[in-house]
Amino acid sequence: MTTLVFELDPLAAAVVARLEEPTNLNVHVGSVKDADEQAKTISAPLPYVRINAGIGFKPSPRAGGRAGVALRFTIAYVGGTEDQARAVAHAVRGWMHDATVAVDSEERRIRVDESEDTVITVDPTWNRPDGGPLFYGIDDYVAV
Amino acid sequence: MSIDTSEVDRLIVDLYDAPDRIQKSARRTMKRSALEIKKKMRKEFSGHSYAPKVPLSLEFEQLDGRGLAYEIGELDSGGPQWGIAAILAYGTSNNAPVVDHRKALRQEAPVMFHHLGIDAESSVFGGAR
Repeated sequence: MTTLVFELDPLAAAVVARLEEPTNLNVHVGSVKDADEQAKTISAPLPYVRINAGIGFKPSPRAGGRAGVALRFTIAYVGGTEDQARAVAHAVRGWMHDATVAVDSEERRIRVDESEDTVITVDPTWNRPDGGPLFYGIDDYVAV
Repeated sequence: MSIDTSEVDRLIVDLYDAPDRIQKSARRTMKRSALEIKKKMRKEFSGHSYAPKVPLSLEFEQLDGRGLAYEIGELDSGGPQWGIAAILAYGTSNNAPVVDHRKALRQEAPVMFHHLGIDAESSVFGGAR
């Protein structure tokens, strides 16, 4: 199941397509829509993953056609417990690392830093509507 | 037949004395690098209107008695914007990270290693070649 927040750029579309293959993973691009900004609660079904552009990187449809450009993005893994978030992180990393995706008809290899485990921590800002905590971790990915 | 081992003997003495000499100059290098990383991190964390005091909350602290280990970041939990730097660097369940908190270390690491290499060479040979 995919929840699209806004129109997908080619990189995000390719990553979402790849993530949808193995399971019914909840995938969000950008911010999660099922969120109450005032109460700082997220009601989206758990677990979910969230895709964002890498720090300082601005996705562009033109990047898909440029050889040698590394496309950077992050994937956040969110669960209701630390174990749940960690399980999603482990599964997604394993599924995404070294995967090949097509971005604007150009094949790119996905890489994630495998030298460290994803750090899972309790969210300091957001909770569930019932007051329960959210646990999350974020990894940097690159499509080369 | 005799074998002149005087140069080998001198080298053994040099290496034996080197650890203290290396540590003295390495301490200066590490402190200088910690300061540079702090300054670069402050620059990276600047420019966020909702977190104006975060750059000033970043400091560095010596961790060991020898001055060879430092911690750099948001060290004062009593600061007015405690925890905001972590959110900027790591994001949340609904916010992506916006600051690359490791960039400063990546930029300074080659400089630090270069100077540590000079420190090591100077401690053995008595001066940079």
